[in-house]
Amino acid sequence: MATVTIDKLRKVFPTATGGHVAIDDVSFEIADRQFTSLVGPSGCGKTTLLNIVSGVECPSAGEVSIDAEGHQARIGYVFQEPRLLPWRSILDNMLYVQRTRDDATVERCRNYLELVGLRGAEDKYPAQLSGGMQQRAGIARAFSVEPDLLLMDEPFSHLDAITARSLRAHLQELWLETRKTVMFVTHDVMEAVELSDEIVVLAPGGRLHELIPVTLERPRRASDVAVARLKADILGRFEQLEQQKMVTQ
Amino acid sequence: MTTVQTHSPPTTGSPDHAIRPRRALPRWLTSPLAARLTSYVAGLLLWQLVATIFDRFPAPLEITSFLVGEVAEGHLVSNFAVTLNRFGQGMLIAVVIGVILGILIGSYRGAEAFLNDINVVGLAIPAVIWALLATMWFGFGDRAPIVTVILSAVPFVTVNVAQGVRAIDPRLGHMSAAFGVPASRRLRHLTLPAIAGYVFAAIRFAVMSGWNGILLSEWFGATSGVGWRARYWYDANRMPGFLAWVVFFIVFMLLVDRGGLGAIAKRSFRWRDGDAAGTTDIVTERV
Amino acid sequence: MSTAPTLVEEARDRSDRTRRRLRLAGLVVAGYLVAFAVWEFASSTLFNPYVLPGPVAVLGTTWELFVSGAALFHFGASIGKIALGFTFATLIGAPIGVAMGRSPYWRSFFHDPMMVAGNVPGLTYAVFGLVLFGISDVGPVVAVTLVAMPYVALNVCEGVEGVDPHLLELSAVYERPFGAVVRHVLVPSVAPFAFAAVRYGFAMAWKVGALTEVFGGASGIGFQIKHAYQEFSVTGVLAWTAVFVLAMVLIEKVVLARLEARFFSWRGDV
Repeated sequence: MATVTIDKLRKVFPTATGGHVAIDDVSFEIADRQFTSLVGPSGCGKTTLLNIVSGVECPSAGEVSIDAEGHQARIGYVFQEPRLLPWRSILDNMLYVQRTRDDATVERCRNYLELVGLRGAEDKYPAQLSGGMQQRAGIARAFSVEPDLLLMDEPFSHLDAITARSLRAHLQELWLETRKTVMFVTHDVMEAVELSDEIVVLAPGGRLHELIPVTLERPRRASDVAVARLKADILGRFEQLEQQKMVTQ
Repeated sequence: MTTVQTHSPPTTGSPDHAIRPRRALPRWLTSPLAARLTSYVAGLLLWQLVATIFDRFPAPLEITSFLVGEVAEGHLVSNFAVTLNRFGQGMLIAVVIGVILGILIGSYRGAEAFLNDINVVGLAIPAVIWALLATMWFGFGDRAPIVTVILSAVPFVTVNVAQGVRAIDPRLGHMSAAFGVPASRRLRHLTLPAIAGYVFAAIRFAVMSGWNGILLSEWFGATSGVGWRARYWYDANRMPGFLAWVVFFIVFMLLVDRGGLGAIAKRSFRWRDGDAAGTTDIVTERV
Repeated sequence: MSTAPTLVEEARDRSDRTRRRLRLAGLVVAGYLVAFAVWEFASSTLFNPYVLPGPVAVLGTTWELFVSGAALFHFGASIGKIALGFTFATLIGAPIGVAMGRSPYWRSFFHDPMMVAGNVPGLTYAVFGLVLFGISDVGPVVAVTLVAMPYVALNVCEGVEGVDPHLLELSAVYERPFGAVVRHVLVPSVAPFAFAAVRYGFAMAWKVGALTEVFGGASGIGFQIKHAYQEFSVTGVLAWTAVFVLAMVLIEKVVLARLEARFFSWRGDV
């Protein structure tokens, strides 16, 4: 498991016209086994932040530290698109990202595929599966490396509403069973309220706007009244934020 | 009084409005197969025309005796065998070198900076120069043709493989990096399968270049093989013999391309559901 | 409303970029140096300077060729034949391409002949150029015409097939005259493909033209290569090859690549 500490993080992208500030002095913490969502409109640096946490990109200033109880943190990543190797079977795709290739690993991969409802699809190629099934495979792949930290970048945004709802339920189940530390990026406040323990709101320009704890009981359903009420409250605050933005622009 | 507009079919029999049915050409004349056969017939007629205008240009009938003779006396098989042996060795080495260089150039900006200009020069040097140089360096025998093939083919393989590497979906690369997949596994499962189609396209172009190269190399400095046999007839001033060998050469190329390379190229893209690799049959050179 | 990047950050990004560019430029230079070193080694040690002259001798001779104007003169001769050959190839190949694009019958008819024409080894053109036309400039022009024709035909065919039928429908609905349709719809759609034919066919044409000149040319770079070969001057052969390569690379990189960018700008893709 892992704790993530983000301290005065700053990321500037060089452009022809000077520089684009993607992340502007952001600090917050994600506790062990906590499900945290990053929410904000496009251009507020959510994906960049995720890339920095995963190590794919370097910050311009500040620090990200992942404390995984002594060892190097193992990271799982779920993307907007499934990003499966199209010329390998689903099982081979799972094995591609594993550390070892022994029988125990293969068994573990099969188990995770079963958990997302893809038993029987191990030997199929990605093109033979629907979009929702491919994304489920992507989620299984991320869980199957048994990560200390799970990073998810708008994993349901490219799916139709019905499939997305079903996958969200799958994800909650999986998470409740395994209790990973999760950093979940989304532009959908509803999704964030349904899934997270804490919502980090980023504003355009990469600033941290506010941190909203979500203490509703789990398992949560979208149809719960408490969930709906909280959603409305937060949406209200977003609308205020947008009003302010329009006034000052 | 309202007039009602009616549209009715024209009365038959009237010479102004009769629709004379057009006699369609019979199917066997207009089918694709018929078109191809017609083109061969037209080609032969054109050939005969050229041979009539230029009396030093052999007519189709003139070369048939040579075609038959060479086959009957075993010259066809023996010389093709020699040339194919040399060609195969050269191509094998060229593909290995070309794939390695192509992956390096396509993956690393540094390698591209270091190697690209040399590759461009390699693409530009005509095969005849390689043939002449190889003959000077290695004399007669097998080495000169093999080296010529390698030098002619490597730049083509390199350029196409490099393009293939650049075409790999960068998001898959990003995924591999995010999961910390080691470089060797990435090469085996991501890079190589992704470029397989490009490697086959590269081989097609490399084969064209290498085949030309070996012909020239054998022309200048060999004692056996297709190029040598063509030179033999040329030196003896028997143009029909020379042209007969050109015909053998071309027919072989067409058969190989039709039969072998095209089919392999399609199969390597199997996972993409029947998307064809190259759609043009002609060599394209890319710098 | 975002805070701008600080001056320190901007300076650091700029120096990062400059450093990267310098590093790449350094590698390019290193590539050339290593290539020349290998050449020199092969020349002096592996073989011998008679069979393979070293880079200094060859480049020196190449320089002299440019300075004396000989390179430019013969380059002009060769490129003239290429241009003429491409012109004829377009005059013959474009109608064939149009026919192939518009009718499946002609497509099947011309497909194999184009393949054959594209697969005839350069040696054949070279030998017959000499045999039929003697030592003259006609052989190379005919060779280039025959080599370039399949490129033109196939590319024009693709271009014609790719004409957006909706644009044609639109033109019919608005009853545009045929001349206007040709000018504003057909030519812009086909032009990139005709250009692609030139762009990719050029390298092939340049090589075949030179080869034909080697066998039976009266002028041009290939002719000079043969001349040097007959005088047993390997240095001469390599120097004229250098002229050949430089000309080809310059034309491809400078002229054709720039034109390609202009032609394809309306497509908006890479």
